[in-house]
Amino acid sequence: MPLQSDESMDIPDNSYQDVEGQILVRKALSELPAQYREIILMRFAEDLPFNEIAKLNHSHPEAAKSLFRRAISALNQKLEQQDARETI
Amino acid sequence: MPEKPSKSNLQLDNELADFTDRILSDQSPDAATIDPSDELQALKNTVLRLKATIKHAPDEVTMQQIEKKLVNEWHKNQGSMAKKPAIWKQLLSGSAFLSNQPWRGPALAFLLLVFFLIIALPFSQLIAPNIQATAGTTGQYQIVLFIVAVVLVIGLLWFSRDKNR
Repeated sequence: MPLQSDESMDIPDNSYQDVEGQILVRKALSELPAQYREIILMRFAEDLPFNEIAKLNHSHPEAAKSLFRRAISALNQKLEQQDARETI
Repeated sequence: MPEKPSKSNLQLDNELADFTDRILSDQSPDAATIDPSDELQALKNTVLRLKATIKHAPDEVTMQQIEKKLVNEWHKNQGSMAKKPAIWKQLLSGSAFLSNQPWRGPALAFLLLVFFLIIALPFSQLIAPNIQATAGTTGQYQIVLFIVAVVLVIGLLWFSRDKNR
């Protein structure tokens, strides 16, 4: 198969925005405290349900959900800070 | 219009967890799920962004194409800036020789000072006793040498200073 030239590369315009958004989320995620990052990754990357996460953490599902909400809230704050910096 | 009673923390925890479960089981959020007046609206949007990041990363080929294009753009923009700066600019901004090792500046300054004193003293001693009429000139000569040495020392200390401070 012949190599494509730069001009013929068919990359959708929104791919850049998608990738940029993903980079920002990953950066914000990496700045979170370890316990917040862990529960987010357990739910999203490992696809573990909350009762499984609770078992692994030796806690109750309610505690896992509470930790999850605090983690998402912290991530949201980081993302808002990044958005504010980008606006400036 | 009566205000909605604020939800308890437990309700908020459960609602966000349920929303996340639905999103991760590939159920698209309907209009009722993300209510603009919802206390959890921002957090639900964050959950959607997380899913897009972790679950729907672009495929490898697209990532490589994007990376290649970004690198090309970067090279185009940085072309002029990538040129090596002129020697005089390097000297003005402090040479790597001096800035990498801060002790080298004072050491070099001290050596230069000693060098100037070695050269200056015998010369002035040679000419001073023999030429009486130039006694004033000898003094001036020493003063000029002293000033040159001081300027050199200050200059070397200036170039070797830590600019990150």
